[in-house]
Amino acid sequence: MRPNDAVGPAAEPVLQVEDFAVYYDTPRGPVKAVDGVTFALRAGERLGLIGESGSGKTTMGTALLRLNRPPARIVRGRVLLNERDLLAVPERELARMRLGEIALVPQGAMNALNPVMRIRDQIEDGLLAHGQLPKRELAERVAHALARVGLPPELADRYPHELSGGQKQRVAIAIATVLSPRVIVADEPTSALDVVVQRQVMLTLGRVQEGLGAAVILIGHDMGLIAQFADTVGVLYAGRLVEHGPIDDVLAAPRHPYTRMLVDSLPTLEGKRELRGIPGLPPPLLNLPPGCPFAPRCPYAFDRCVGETPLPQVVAPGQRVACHLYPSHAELPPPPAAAGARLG
Amino acid sequence: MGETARQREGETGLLSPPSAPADAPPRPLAPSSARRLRGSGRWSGSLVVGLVILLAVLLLSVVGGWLVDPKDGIVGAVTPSQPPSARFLLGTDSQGRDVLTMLVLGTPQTIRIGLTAGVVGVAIGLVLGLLSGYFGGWFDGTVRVLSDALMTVPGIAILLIIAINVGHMTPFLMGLTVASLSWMYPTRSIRAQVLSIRERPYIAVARANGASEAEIVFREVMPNLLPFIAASFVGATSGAMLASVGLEALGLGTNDVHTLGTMIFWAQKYSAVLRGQWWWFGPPIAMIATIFIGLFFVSAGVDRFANPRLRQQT
Amino acid sequence: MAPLLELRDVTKVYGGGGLLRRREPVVALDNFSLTIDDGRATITAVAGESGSGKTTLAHLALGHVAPTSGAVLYRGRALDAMSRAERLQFRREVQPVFQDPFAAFNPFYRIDHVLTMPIERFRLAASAREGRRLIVEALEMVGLRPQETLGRFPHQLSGGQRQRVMVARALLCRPKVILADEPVSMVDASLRATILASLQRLNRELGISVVYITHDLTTAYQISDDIVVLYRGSVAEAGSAEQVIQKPKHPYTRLLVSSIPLPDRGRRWTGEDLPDVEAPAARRSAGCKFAPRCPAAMDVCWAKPPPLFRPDDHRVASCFLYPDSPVLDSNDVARVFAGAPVATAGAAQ
Repeated sequence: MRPNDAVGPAAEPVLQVEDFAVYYDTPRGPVKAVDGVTFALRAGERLGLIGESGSGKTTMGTALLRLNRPPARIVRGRVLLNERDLLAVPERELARMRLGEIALVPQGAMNALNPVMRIRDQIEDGLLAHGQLPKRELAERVAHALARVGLPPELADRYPHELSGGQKQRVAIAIATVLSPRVIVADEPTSALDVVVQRQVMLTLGRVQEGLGAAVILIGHDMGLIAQFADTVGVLYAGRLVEHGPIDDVLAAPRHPYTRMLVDSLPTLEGKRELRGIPGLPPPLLNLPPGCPFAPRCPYAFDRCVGETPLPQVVAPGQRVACHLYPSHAELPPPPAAAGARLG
Repeated sequence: MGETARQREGETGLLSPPSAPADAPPRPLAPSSARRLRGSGRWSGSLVVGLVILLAVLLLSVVGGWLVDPKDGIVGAVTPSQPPSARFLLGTDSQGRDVLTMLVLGTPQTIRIGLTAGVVGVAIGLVLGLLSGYFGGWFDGTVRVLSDALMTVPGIAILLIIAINVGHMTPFLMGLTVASLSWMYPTRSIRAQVLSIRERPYIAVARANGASEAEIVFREVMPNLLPFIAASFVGATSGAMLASVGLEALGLGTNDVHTLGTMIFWAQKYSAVLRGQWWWFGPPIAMIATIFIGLFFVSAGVDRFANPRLRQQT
Repeated sequence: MAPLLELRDVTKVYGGGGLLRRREPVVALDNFSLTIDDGRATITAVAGESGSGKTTLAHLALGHVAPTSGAVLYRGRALDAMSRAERLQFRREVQPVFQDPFAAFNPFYRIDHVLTMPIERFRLAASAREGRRLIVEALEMVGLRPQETLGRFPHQLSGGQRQRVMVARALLCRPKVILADEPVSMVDASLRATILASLQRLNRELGISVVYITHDLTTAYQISDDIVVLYRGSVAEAGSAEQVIQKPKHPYTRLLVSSIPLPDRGRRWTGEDLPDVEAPAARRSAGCKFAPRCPAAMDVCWAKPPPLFRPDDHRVASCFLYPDSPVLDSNDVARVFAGAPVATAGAAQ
């Protein structure tokens, strides 16, 4: 993949998400699936948003493009794509910006391909929605889009059921990138794929992204995948971004207790060791009490954590954490004695 | 597996949550089945409206049954061909029978025919659908061929032949007659559900738990069929009612018991339409329409009841 | 000692012959053998991707389907020749844990239903009180609190909790073998470790053998003693998990291992060695099934299927890259497992 060096080219943020919040309206009250997420994305940057069930990551993916449906409702925030707020622009301009400037590869995209349309028609669908093109140019664009994801042009005349899972996923990437967007949001793009095909699809996505100079937001639950693909990582918990920073730093020295425990729970090939999970459950997002949402499961929790919600703060250049341990600590201390007796 | 030291200290085994801060707040115990049903978002407007209509019809029959004199429904009981008045709220027919009396007595009979056929049809459908869907094989093949063949034959032809050959028709026999053709759809519908349920992992889990095949069929599969049984029942009842009214209107109904269909038959036979005696043919038609509207709403609502995916998303 | 569970030369073919259109038969499992002994409680991983045959293997071992040829034996008796009592014992002693924690529960009942049923059917308790005690013990053994779990409906528990209830159910039956078919693939990462640790605990403390079917080689590495890697119904490589995963010898295993997305910035993916796994094979192979995609394929690979070569004491690889190694004298790969006694090729066991 890419050489392990400094993050991409220009330092100009191409996407700025500010205090983004999406709630689900239920008869029992609002479920705060995304509650005040803020981050910036530079051109060419690969951001991995990691979260488990109940973290809000899937809601975020669709809501960023205002593709959420009721009862999901965008409550506040700004999503600035080149200075224009996606959440505020009128429908027509939003339709133009979708696919043209920001594209989504949704979860299970390969199953979302229309089974009665040829691949060619589905790619053209997106092109034609953005303006009429002469037939020959359409065909060229389709061939080019397929070539970009490493698929032969003959595939354009096939139907989805004739393709394998990985091929379908690559078609989904082709559809999403046909108009060379500046930001690609990929929501669990490889979740149903075998590990070898997954690698191929992720490498394809990486090549496409580099070729376009686009930024990618990869949403998923697999830290390994994010470690292999992304430059920066954002850790989501209970609808909030609890840690955000370069992947190397976050993996080597996680600052948030949840990140630390998550990384510790991952199996590796580094030799056999005791498997430790994170005890307890993520909190229900309905009527979440004030304070840190991770406090009930956190071995470091103290009084302040229960009453006061921690806000993200910068702890090092490019690194933010939402935890009351900071800034009084420089890094995450070893776990307190009570937890230590449990491990081992 | 005795207690270990860790367990005695209150820990519950592997990596239980620390005891000091509260864990995930204790979830309330599951409500009883009845309450679970009530608040589950399965009751749609359609279902309620439909049930209210049907309840009103039944109420009318029951209360009306106390208030009218059945003797007014016999030929020659009252002055014939009278339009509605204070004495005869719905007028009288050309045979000297009070229309209101006939309506009040006839409605429950028609409903009874429909219900008989509905119950018989669904009972047969349940047994055949369960057995053929779960066990497959030659039994399944036979049932499928039989039900498919009968579904394609024009039902009215078969019903005519049966009805003509019944000696003395009673509402119960009419119910059985139309039931003969009301079992196929429930069979197919329930069979399809059973085929799907059979592949679910919880069936394999029941097998791993030592359950016999019979136990699996009755304890694991059948409870999950209840919504489909309800939906099939409504469908079978409506179909049967319509078929019975059709047969009765052709004159194959009962001779001595009033039903809505026989009212239509007599009205048509004695040219009530040509004579402008709207109070004779109007009320049974209106009553049939009302019952069907009620059944329609119920079936629309039951569909949502049965199919969780159609319910409101939360 | 008679093996507990034995798959002997099992082949399973699906499809083949429709009424109007000939459907291509699919060989899901091809002449496969494996034994699980009673004496040693091991954790054996069966790894493969979709189409490898691992799910078919689970169905065969649990007696849900019959093999097209070959036999599945339990305590020396073929599954289809068992008496009712023997069958019940088989059901009790070989317990499954399935992949989908939601679909494994009957939505009509509370979760207590799956826990009380085996106690009744297998007569595991003399009284209701003892039955309740067994249930509480089993739940606690997997790290659940009975008061938070019992009495609830499946949809009121999280995926991880449900899966743990399923493991508790399995161990309640006091089985000899637990067949776990992708038990954690639908569970969050932070909970996977807990559930897998409980399987390990059952293995070590209660002497229950575990067959862990998965596509995830890292978890297979972490908890298994031995591993069998399947490709399209045949064994590609098998043996001690440590050796097979850390130093794979079969090209397919190497491809799998190198494709694992490790959360380790020191071991990054490279793109060069990746064959196009989905391009249709230019020609069909009469020999090794992996030949069309193998970077090291030679002429002999296309011509005849490779036998199980044994380049190390505790490993077999069906690959012509090791023609000088001895050939395993049977196709029961358990012979080369980590705890198995080492014998020279050809010697009878």
